[in-house]
Amino acid sequence: MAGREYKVIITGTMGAGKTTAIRAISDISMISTEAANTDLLASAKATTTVALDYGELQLDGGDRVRIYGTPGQQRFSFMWEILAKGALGLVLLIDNSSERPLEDLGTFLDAFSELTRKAAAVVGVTHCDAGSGPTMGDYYEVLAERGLALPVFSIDGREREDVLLLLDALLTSIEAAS
Amino acid sequence: MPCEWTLSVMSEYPDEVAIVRSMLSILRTNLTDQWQLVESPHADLLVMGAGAESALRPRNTQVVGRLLSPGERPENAVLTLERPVRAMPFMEFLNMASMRLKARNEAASLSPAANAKCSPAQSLGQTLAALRKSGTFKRPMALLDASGERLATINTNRGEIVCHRQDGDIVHLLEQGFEQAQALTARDWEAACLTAKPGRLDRICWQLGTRLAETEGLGSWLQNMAGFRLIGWPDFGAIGNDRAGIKLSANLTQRAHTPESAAVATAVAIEQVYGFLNASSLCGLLVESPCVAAQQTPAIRRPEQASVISRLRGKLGL
Repeated sequence: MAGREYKVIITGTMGAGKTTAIRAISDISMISTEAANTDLLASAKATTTVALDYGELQLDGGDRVRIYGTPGQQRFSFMWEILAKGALGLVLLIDNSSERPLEDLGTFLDAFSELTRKAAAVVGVTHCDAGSGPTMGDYYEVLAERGLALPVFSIDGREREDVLLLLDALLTSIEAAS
Repeated sequence: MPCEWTLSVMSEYPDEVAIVRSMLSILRTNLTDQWQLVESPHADLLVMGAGAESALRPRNTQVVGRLLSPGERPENAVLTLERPVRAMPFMEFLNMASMRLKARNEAASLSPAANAKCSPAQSLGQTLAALRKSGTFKRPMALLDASGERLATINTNRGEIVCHRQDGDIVHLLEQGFEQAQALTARDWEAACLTAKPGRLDRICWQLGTRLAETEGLGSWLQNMAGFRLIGWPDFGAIGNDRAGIKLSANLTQRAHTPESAAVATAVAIEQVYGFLNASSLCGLLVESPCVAAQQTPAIRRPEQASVISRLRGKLGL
């Protein structure tokens, strides 16, 4: 008998580490939809996600949590609202070394406002040690402008412990809000 | 950057408090600083009518204003507001009070020796808290020891600190106390960064705050506050994973708590709550906020969601 299914979304800017984050926690080999990156101005990555990344966390009783990683480019924004429906929570990854990280944060916060308003979201800021770029205080201000006080952590998306930190904060936020 | 102050009105006319609340809302954009009306008489600005004056003993740290009824003359009162309270005079009254509070804080904060009865750690906490409130904290600051040597340079805009002493742990050195906080320029900050690589200021503040709680409990600058709320989460990615801190952050960003109610809500020991509050305050994330009484209607519970979260935690080892 099929168990119940839940959904967690991992979204954010191109190159922030969404694919890597899913790979770090998924029970199954992650299904990745990558192609050659032709937008080298946005990111120097060789490849980029062009549809959805998919991973799973299998719970007891046949239940499972589906993890969807959205592509980062704006042209895929049509799928954000579809994916957000019924999601347990949202992990938003921002590349601090990108061209406009604060604007990107604002874009994603607005796109996923239903989840952010329920405190079912957490922000991970990657590449903080790249030198210049906004400070954590700048990220707090973007959130405060929207009346939000979400977790914002500087992380290394390649480190499983950092991804788990984001998830812990996400789950604790959801519990405290209910 | 506007400061945040609290205001308490002790009036023999109940409607007067409602009028003040309404005016605060209307005048918000015309005031030099932000004001919050609170019930506790331990606010930054205590405004009293004649009837309340005999019943209250203002603290030395408070600025006191007097409400004057028609025909009443102020006796030794510096800040006065004539009744009935009107918008323009009220605005001027609050802006003058802001100036007095800032001057008082600046004088107290730049002379930590004046708090001689406090331990160095408490004095440091008071100084940093007062500096944040005064607005001068937005400039780079040098922290000098008794001989005038620079211990550290801090930049709250960037959230960074440069440590100038190599002979010990900077947290330990700061806990021994510093004599003076000296405001600097942006160029001074750039020069300081050439001497050593800046580190995260919140890491240092976090250690200071939690270590203070181990020996002295809740910081003295927090003890008269009615309740607390977080305006942002500490960055546990930089500070280090802290399970108790995550639970406290989740609760305190969503509603105000006293230390005791936070301990109950999160099942975290009160000593850890004190450390969290000290540290969050030093990081500029904590504000005073009155606690709202629990609502009578039960919260909507979602047992299925609670169950999957619990199982997900178990799965991930959280």
